[in-house]
Amino acid sequence: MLRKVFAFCAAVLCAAPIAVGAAGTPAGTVIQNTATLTYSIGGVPAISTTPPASFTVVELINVTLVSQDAATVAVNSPDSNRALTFLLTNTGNGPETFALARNNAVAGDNYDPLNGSAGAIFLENGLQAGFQSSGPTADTLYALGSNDPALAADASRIVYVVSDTPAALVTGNIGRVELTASATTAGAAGAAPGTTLPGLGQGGVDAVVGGTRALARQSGGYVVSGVAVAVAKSVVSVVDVAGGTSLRSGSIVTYRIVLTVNGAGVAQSLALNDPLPSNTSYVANSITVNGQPRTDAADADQAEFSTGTVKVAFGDTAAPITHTIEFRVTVN
Amino acid sequence: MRTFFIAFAIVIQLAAASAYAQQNPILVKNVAETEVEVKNAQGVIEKVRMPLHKAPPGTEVIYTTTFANNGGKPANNIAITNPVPANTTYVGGSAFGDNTEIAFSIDGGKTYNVADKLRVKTPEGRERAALPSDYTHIRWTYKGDLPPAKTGAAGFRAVIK
Repeated sequence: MLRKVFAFCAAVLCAAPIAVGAAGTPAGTVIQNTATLTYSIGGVPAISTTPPASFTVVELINVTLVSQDAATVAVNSPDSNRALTFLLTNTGNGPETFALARNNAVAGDNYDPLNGSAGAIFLENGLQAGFQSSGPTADTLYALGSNDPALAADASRIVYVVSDTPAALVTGNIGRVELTASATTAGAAGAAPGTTLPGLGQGGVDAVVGGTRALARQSGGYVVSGVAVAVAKSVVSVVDVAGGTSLRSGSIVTYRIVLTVNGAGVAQSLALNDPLPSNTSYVANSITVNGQPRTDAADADQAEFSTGTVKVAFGDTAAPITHTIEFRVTVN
Repeated sequence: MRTFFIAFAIVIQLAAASAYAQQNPILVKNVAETEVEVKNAQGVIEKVRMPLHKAPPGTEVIYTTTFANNGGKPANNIAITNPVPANTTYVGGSAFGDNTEIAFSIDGGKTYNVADKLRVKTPEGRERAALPSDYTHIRWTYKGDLPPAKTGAAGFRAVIK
């Protein structure tokens, strides 16, 4: 039953944008009007219809950019290829192509973000939501003039502004980037609203610059979040072969490592690698993470033991958080 | 060559017009215009109506139907009906016409009523007053006779969606 309800909602949502047509009557539409007059003369009824009064709807060029980030995007210093997300929408009534540009030198912030080392601007390719710079779902690198997004009336595209962050910035520093989308119809972008561009609209109708002046600007910001990772290693217990606590051949030592991520933001690809002390042997399958046992194989449980090293990979980790890792060794 | 063509065209048009007049003593025509603000010779901005050939969405269009009695007898029972064109929305309160009673339809011209008596059934089964955007047709009923050589006009405004 629940599934049916969901399917119904999905269908309605899909249909709605088509029916609404926020961008208005499509460019090139001919609107006709014929009036009818009925009358009688000397008791004889008659009817007259007018020739149609008709005109053509011209193309209105309008565009919006809306930041999709709920807040400034937390970055480290240095950092690389962190995305600001924008939604580009053709709010005109005909198809239009938009050129994109970024400005890193926005006034009023603390530092200038750098163009991402993977690329400055990317277009969502629709394979996976969110920005991916590489891999099978990698988004499309934008190149001015070669893959400018072409959008039908009312259509939208997600655009990523991707930036590197310089080193040695202070926590709390803000860096802003402004994205500009300009309609590529000649003479449109920046022109006064109402400017007519004869014959440059869809199908050769006139194009008229709309209230947005055929361009949109929107800025987004990064905040240096100052994530700090602290590691503390201690010996929890020593148990010797006689049941005592002396450290000698055959004693089992339990180590505890407390990994603390402080501050605000994301510690990317957080991982712990702890080589065993010399003259010790690892106790098989003794790794625990936050009290949960882990296997030694390199598998989905994030921990492994290989090449004499205890390895735990946490991936991108949002601060603040604390992880406790324990493992045991035997003294040789 | 060009002169010849133009002259030829005029002759045909005249012939068509006179045939039309014979069949229909009431001549009727319909124009679409828009108001533009222009500065007159005194430097004052005034609104001037211009014929409309092309326009972007959001433009307000003024439709005017004019009729003239070119016959020799008075015409009576005159009524003009005009649909609100597709892709436009009627502008509330904009219908005009001297010496006429104005009624609206919200059902594609099947029935007409005065504006404040039109009711719309909502999808929930309730009723609400009809909005100008619900109007599909407008009807003007001319009061009395239109004597020979007299003219009248009726019209409305609509905004391009």
